[in-house]
Amino acid sequence: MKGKKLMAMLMAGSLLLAGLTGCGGATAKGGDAAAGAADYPNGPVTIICPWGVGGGADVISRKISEVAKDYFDQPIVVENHTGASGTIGMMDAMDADADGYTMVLTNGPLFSLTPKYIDVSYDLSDFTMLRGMRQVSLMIFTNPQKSGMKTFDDLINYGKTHKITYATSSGPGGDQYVVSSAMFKSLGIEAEPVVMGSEAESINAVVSGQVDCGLGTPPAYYSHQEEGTIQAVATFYPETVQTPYGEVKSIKDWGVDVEFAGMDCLAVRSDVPQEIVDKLNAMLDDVYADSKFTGFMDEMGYPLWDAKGDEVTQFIEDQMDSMDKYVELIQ
Amino acid sequence: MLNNLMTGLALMASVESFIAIFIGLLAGIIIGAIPGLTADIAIILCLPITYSMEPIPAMLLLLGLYCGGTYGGSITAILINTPGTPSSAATVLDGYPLTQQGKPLKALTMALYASFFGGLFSALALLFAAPSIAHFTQMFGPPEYFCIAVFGLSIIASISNGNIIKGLLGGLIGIFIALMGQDSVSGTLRFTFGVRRLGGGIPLIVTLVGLFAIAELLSRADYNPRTDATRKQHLKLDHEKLSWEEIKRCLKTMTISSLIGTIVGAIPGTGGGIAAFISYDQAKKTSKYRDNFGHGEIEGVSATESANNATTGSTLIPLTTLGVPGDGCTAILLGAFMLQGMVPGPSMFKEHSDILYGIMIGLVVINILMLIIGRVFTPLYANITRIPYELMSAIIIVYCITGVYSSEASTFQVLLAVIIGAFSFLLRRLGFSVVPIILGVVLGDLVETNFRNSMVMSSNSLSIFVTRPFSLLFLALAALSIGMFFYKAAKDRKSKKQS
Repeated sequence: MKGKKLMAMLMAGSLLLAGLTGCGGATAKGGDAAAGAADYPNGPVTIICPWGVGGGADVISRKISEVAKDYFDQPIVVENHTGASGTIGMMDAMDADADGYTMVLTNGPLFSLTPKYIDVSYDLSDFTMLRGMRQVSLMIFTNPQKSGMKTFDDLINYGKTHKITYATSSGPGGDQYVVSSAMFKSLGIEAEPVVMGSEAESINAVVSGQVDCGLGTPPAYYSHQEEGTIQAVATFYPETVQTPYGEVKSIKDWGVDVEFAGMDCLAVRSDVPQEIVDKLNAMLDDVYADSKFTGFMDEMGYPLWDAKGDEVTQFIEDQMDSMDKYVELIQ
Repeated sequence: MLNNLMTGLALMASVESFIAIFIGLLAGIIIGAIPGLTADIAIILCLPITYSMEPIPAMLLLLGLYCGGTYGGSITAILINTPGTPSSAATVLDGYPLTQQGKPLKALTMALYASFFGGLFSALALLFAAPSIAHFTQMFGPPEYFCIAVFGLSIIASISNGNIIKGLLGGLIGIFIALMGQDSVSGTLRFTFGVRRLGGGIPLIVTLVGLFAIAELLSRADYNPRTDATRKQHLKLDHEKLSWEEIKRCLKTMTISSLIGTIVGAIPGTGGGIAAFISYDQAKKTSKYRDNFGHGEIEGVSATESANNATTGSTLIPLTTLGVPGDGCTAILLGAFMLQGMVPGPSMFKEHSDILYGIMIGLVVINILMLIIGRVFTPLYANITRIPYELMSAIIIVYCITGVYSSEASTFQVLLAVIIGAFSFLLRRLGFSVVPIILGVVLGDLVETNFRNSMVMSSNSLSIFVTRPFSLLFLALAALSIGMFFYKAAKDRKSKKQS
């Protein structure tokens, strides 16, 4: 008898747990849409991250949600909707109601490049950009210990007589692939990408000498540069970049007319009421002014890109023009 | 070294750490045991809780979930023929037959001891040999990964229950499922049939729930409690305990499997599932009881469960030394480390050595506590088989649906799981084993991506696979695995003819 009671309790408990887990994954839709902007927010707000848990942009948005607890009446929850180069998350954000309870974490290439390769049902005009998050400079690096190549000139000279293999974390349709192919093409060098699952794996492929060079962003490779197994030789950023290990010159200095600056930003659907957009921006103002957030960005070595909505939109529009050019060049 | 250990121990030995480990393990075991919920989901759900915690208890909570989840997956694999997590897929091969024979307690106890053995082995390897193991696995590139995956696929030969054609077909179906979604090299969408959500591919957990849980429920839909002869039998038999003799004869298997698990775990992009299959195959080939494998052999359970838990410590090796996550779970842990202000990579041992040693010692403690918690609860789990099947099936379906839904908060995934379940049910009726399918799913992407990357590296020359020592070694192992299958098949035919 006692055993039966215990079993019944256990079963009830475990079913409850299952139910709760189901709720844990999905955020309850906040508030009544009719109540509108006046009492916003009256339910949790979701940030859709179109990439996996643990990546740079995901980690920063989680930090934002943590710091925002002090400034926003409702919890902000990060959900990862991954797949198809981030377009699944973007389209989920389009499918969500325009009530301001869904923000999306996005970047330039999701507008300027990915739609050229994957059918999507959104464009830049569908989103209101809220705020920039970080801007990153894409670097080309070699492993001086394995390959002996210490400078970009070394790499170019090697490429004149050999086919270069390089590690990137994106294939055709990805930003790293397009800009690097455009660069090698305009240098007249034959090169082929080895597409790795993540930037960490690209770095590892260079460190272990599997490929001639690789692409990646600071600060991911810093600790390897300290060990001498990675040397950043040039950057796609249009200007010289200062790093703790000295300056890295832009490929423009070698006469290559290709540039790329990576960035992440937060956005909402463009038909979200202005009043709600203002409230979200006010929250972000507070978070970006908090030393808990800026200190974290410093510690991680992420350059904070505190650009307002219009500036972000302009940035993406400019990038769309240059990406068109590069895609044409490599085809 | 000793100094580091002492500092780490002092930092780790706090009430908060022990509470974190206890909660993490308990929640991990329960979540791991629920089909559809995996350690990954548990860690994602608990990640926000750790934001405000101190680094060591925070990481130990997540590692408790990871280790508990990896072990917990075996419970349902043994009891209801449905692996709770992908790493326990191979455990159904011998675990469930043991339950059918009325020996669930024996299988569960073995799974616990093997998980403890493998987990501890791996935690100690992380603590004492991380840099040298990392140095070793760093020699592995796309050609080696490809050959490991081919070796993994060659195991289909030994797990096809005698019907190699159906086994191979199953493997191909698995690879087909793995190929759906976006091609990781060229970015092209494949086999999505215009369905946007298929662009992300089919998550492993959805496949697992469909292939095992839903298909199992469907195939027992004609169950009638009044005609179930095994019911009374269970009550009589399910207290047959694991004997010392049995543990002793599994020691060698557990050691070798733990070694395999530790090495496979340290290779980025692999994971517990692959380690378990390789160890199972190895144990089957070298055991005195090899003919009993697949029919409820305790050594089979010890091989798979020690191997998958032996990846829990070693997946942290590439993470802490190179900044490269060893599997899906550690990719999430990478984010957790960063949120605690630590960037995993070569400098981690220099900059945060105190905390890191605290965490590594904590991992040893986690495995010891897992044994204790498991000892207390195992007799209770064994009683799950007493739950009337008509109730059990309802509970399983609720769990599976919620689990699959919660992984991406999407009803589409639930629909997918049901479709795969119906398909798997049909295949079972046609005499297919689903285990080769799951092997194909786990290895499909690894085979393809690394083959193509190897071709880029070698300018399309296949010789790259035989000119590098480790890729040659794995290819040789694959050839041996297939060769042994044919040799055995020929021998069987001969002896059949003679008799």
